[in-house]
Amino acid sequence: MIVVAPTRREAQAIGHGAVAGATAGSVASLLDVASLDRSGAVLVIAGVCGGLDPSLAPGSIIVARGVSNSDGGDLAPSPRLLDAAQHVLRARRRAFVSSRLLTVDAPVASRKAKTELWNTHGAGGVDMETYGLAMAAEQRHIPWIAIRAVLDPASAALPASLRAWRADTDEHAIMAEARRRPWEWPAFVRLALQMRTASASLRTALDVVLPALNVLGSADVAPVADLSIPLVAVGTAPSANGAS
Amino acid sequence: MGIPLRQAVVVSAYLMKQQIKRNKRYPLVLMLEPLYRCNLACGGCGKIQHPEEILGQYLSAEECWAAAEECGAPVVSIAGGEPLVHPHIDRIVEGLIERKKFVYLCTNAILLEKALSKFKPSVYLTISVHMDGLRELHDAMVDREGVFDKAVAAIREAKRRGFRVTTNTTVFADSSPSQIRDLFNFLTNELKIDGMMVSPGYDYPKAPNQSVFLRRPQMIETFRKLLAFPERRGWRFSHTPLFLDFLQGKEAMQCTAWGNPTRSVLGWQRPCYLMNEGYVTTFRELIEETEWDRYGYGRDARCTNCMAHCGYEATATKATMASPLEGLRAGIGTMLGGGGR
Repeated sequence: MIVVAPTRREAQAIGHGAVAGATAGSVASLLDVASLDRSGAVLVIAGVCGGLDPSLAPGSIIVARGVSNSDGGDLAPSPRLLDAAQHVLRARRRAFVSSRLLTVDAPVASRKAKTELWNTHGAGGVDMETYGLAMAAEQRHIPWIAIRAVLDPASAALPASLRAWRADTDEHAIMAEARRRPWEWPAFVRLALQMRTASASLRTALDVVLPALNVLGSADVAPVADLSIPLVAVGTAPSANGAS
Repeated sequence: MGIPLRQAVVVSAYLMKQQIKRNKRYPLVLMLEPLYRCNLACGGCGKIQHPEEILGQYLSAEECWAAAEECGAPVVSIAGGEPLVHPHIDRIVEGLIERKKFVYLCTNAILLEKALSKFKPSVYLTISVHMDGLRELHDAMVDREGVFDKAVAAIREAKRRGFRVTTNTTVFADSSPSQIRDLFNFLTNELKIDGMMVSPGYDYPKAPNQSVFLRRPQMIETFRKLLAFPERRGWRFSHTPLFLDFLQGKEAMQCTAWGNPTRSVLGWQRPCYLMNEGYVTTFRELIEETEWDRYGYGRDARCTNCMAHCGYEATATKATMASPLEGLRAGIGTMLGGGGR
């Protein structure tokens, strides 16, 4: 089983041997090796996301029943992994919602933009990586599942310095910009507190889900792997909003 | 006034009490269906496609009162079926009023004029008449000629006798914003209606005519156009301003399915007024044993095109209570009946 968290910060928070700072290359090589393993491999995409469903507070868990991107791409996780994750979470009485995730290219910073995405896509959360990672797994016939915790709720806007964030943006540059904007510091403090809540919630959910997936893992891995297909680029920057 | 001041005060106090008690899920409006039988067969209705043995069942007055007490919601909406077909509807209403419930008696008004003598005007009683359009559109939606004229005559008589009368309009694909505007102008200016409710139709799988339902983006577009008409400032809605914003896509909301629990002749309907996954025998079972997080927009495909007030008005009401600014806006809306951005 490979647990991928898009950023180092998220990987550290999750534990469970999550791949940290997932660059395209490192995840590609991991998935390539995994796809050769005929006994089976599973990709778990874990991290935080921006909330689009207005009923979800920071720390709410979304088990994705699908992920789409703004170009209309649409991927579904392994039904068996999804069923297993939902079943074990329900059995352990862990709160979660089974909803869709939307992957976009840039942070969704304003409340208005989140409302528009919610009305258009009906996705519970928004991030910047899940679709790419899921596509990479699909191309290698590796079953995948995505579990995200809400960082910033639908009702909250992100600080302006985060709005320029892109997948290849350096976190230090963002922080340097934020230091020059003291009026945004309260918002960053709030985000930091929400990150703590979201991380703890995600870790707790994964404590329950990962053992169940490990048992299932090998059952629905397709035997053929196509190593010639390149991996879709994966962001290396730390997370912010859906900007996870 | 969109809703009576006393009702606004009682409901606000009830909401505050729930917040103080930290209740996560509590009802606002009991949807009481004492019968499924109706004297109409509207194309967009998903309530009356039951076998004859179920259509022949009625909740007794005692069962209705027990449901209201068990549920505890301050408002009871009596729907159906056509409530005025129920032989004991007057007793049901009287008993609910004795229990200080704000009763909305929902009717297509075909039998209303004759039935008015059975009821007494009260601040606790609102007669809510189904009106989907002016004469041509309404009669087409209910699939019978003459119903609009009967409803208008009954509304005039009810108003003359001192009853509080509101209307309930369902917006379907066949109704254009200008047609609904004309209806609202007529209800406001000619009939001097006390309040109007409006909601997009829910795409009941069992409804005979599936082409009448709007998809979510169409609904938002329709309501944006409808609520952009200048006359809208004079319309008296029985809704929170936030709900009207939601209908126009300006506010993100998730459904509060437990806000309007449904008690019918078959029991407490799970999970909501519009979707049916079976029945339980007690309200407590409904609230405590339903996996509510499974339902809602983005979670259940059946909720994709639902923007109905029975799911979202409760969300809007709770959000209004949580925000002093929205509370003030709703207060003004309650007094003047307007609202929405």
